Amino acid sequence: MRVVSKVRRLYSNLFRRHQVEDALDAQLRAHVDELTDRNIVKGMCGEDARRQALVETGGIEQVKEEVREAWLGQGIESTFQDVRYACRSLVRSPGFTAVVVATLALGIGGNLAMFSLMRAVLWRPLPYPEPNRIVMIQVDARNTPNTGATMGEVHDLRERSRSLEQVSMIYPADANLEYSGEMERVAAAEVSDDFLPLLGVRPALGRTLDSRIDESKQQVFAILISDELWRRRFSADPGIIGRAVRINNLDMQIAGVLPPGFRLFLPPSVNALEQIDVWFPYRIDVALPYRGIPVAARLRRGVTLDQANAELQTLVAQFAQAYPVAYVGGKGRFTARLLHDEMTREARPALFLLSGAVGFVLLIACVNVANLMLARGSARQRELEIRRALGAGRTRIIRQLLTESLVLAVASAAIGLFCARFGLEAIGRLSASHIPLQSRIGMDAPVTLSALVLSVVTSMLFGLLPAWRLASGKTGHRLNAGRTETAGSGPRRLQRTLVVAEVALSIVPLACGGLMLRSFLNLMHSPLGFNPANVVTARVPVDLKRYPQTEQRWALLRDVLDRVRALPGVQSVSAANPLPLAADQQTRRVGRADQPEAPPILATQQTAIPGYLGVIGTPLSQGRDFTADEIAAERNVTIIDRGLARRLWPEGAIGKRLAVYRTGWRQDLEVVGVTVPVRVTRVRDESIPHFMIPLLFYPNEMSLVIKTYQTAERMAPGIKLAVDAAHGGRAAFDIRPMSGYVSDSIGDTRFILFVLAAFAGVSVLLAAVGLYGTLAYLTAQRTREFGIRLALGSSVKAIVAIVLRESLLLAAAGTTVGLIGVTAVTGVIRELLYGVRPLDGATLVGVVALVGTVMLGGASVPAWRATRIDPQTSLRSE
Amino acid sequence: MPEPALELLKGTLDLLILRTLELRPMHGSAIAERISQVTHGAFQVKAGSLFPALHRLEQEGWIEGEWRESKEGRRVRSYTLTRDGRRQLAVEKKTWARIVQATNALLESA
Repeated sequence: MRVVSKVRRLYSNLFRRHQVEDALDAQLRAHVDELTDRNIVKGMCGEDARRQALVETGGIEQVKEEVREAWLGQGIESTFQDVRYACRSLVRSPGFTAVVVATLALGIGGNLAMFSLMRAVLWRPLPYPEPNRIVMIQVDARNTPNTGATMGEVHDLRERSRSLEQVSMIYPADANLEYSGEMERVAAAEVSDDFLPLLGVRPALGRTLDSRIDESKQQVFAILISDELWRRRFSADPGIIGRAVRINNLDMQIAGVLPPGFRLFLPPSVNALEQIDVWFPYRIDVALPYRGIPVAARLRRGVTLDQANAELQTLVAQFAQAYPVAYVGGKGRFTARLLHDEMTREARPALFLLSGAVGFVLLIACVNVANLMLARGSARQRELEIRRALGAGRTRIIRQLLTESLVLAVASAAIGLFCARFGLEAIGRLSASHIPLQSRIGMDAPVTLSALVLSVVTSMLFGLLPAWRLASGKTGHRLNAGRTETAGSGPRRLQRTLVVAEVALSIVPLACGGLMLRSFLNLMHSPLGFNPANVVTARVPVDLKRYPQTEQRWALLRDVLDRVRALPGVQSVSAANPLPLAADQQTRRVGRADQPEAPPILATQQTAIPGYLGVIGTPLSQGRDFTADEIAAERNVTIIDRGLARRLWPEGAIGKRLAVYRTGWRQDLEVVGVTVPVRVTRVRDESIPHFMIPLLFYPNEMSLVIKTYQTAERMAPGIKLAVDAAHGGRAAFDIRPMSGYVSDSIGDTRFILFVLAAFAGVSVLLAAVGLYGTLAYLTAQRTREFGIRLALGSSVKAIVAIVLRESLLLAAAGTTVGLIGVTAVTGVIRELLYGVRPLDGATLVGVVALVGTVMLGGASVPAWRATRIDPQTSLRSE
Repeated sequence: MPEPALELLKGTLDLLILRTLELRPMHGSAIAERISQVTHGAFQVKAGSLFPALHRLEQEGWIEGEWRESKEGRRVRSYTLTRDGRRQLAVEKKTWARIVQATNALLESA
């Protein structure tokens, strides 16, 4: 009952203010009238009676003000007043408002973008049931990390592990889908029966896969397809179950359709796309000895990761006894890691670096704005003094000033949200595939909420100090101080400190950016061992079932090469697999054939045909290229790179025999040539040696390399037609320039560099604006002082020197503090750098020079203005 | 020469207003006049304290105002004590009695 009436009163106080005010007015007027009447009765004349009544009442407006204080919701009302007042005073100085809002919007927008990124990649749980129980199992065997499991191990894990369930395999694959006369290549994956249930997905249509029925003897009978493929190619036909399609030249049946929007999120090492259109059944065949299968599993309920890993260690010891062949030369190791951690492990340092940098930007923005507010506040001192004189308390004024900050911050946050959106779009375009979970990055309610929180926090950061200082009596000049005075040293010292802080804060991201730039340049100019310029590549799958014999495949390949060579603009063409820096590199353990006991060396293996070295531009330093005969006759020959040659045969490698170890057997190859060192895994990795074997040894796919001055886009249609005309049964895909692989490989560094450069640029700009603003303000304040100096005979040069010296001191102090910060911070980003030490002298000198120049630019305008001071005007200006 | 008006103790104004309205509904200046009469001029309630107090008491729900015609034919806001107001008055009376008792005890102690 009471609550209801209170709410009603609150409502009328807030929203029917006019009525309430009118009533109060009427009440007080009636009171005054009554007193007047009474005074008349006492014998006063009309005028006097009324005046006396007003005196007794004590001023209608004052009484009203006190009554208002008693009303419910007065706090809300006065906040509205503050906001209204803040808006009005901000609109009155549009320049100040624009600069502040732009500064803060940049800072807040950058942070929101990074927050969305971090949230999508690191914090948001994966969209699978109980994602904290899903693990990937890393298998290290034969002293080699990440070899992948064998099917036997997967089988045994399923049978024996008590801490894991749904142990399953996934293997990325290709699917050449043929339906109603149109051929299309779509992303596919082979999955064991438990894999999709492990991720908690069930077909929306049809049934799950059962490899016992759907796959036998490597022959697939039934598949699942994605909702997207179902809509795109099969017009969302509900009667699709059981429909026959041709995939990879085999007849298959569609057994089910997965629900819409299902995405596969796996670590980058698995190399699987998020959007898989065709799912093949994958039977666990213990007889197959190959390694390389990625394994996923689910922790049983109540089992911790540590317990699972402890159990895996005991199991691996048993496996080593059961499969001595698979673990030759060292004990294997199984490590279970949470899927999400494994996915984001590589991206983590970069993300932390960037969010650190963007935090700096926001800090600088806050310092900058605090500085501007201080400068503006000094100009407003008279206004505030008047308000204090009229009885506004200190808290009331602080509240007023903080409200102003809040209004600014909220406006900036709103604009910052837009900045963040564009920033995210730019990040999406820039990074292509270098951020895991990229498809989940976006703006949503939590981001908006964080924008709000951020705006409150920043408004406190930049508003509190000026508000406190302005409201306290310290700056207080008396009302009668209508004269322009030389400012007291207090606010000037504070402003100078803030400028020093800004410069220092901007040095740190700038130094990080400089280091990343040097790393990037080093990567760009690092010797790859091949020349990607003017090389277009295309991948062509080979159908092993149609071309079982080496001769047949060699004939097909020659046919394709001849047709491509005949295309206009083609200078030369050859083939290899995999391409350098492509994602699917193969590593082998190799050694000298005459020293089988020596520990093997890990090397990357590439297959190639004669002429490949010429097209890709890898110079032979010794020996010769492969010959066509060696391809056709499957001769056991190899070309190794100098890195491998130096490690195995420093005395000369030609004619020596290289042992390549495979599961259970060993192949000896004769070294016929030595090339310069080639980087095939990543541009960063220079230490992994490399060897090549004739292409048709393992020919499930070949990659064409085409020397041409044409672009890949212009070549693509011709290449596709040429490959189709050879009737190999598979379509060419991934037609792109070789330089694309190179830039992909350094894409993560480039991404960090670009974003960091943007942040660093913004922070230096802000620092310069801060320095400019402060100096301009201080100079303006000292106009009178300078006028006196000039009048007393000081030269203009001396005045300029004063201003420049001040800015130089500030910049120097800021730089010093900043460099100290740099030494503390850059060590952290060591692993992101390439070919440059965290405290690189040249970078630091460059950063200091850049900051010095920018600061000088910021100081030059106020200095110039100081020279324009006319002593007469400045002295008369009061 | 009459004795000068007393300074109102903090919080006593509410008690005085509630007590005055206990007899019958009254409007603002009538309340002030009544307080002044009954206390023989010891308490002079100024508009600056009276009206804020009335509004505060009304917002608390202890008194309720309504527009009425006064004896002089003027539209005035007349206040009535509510049930909650009566309860509050009882509480404040008790509190006041304790204050008086305590103060007296202190003053009369040897």
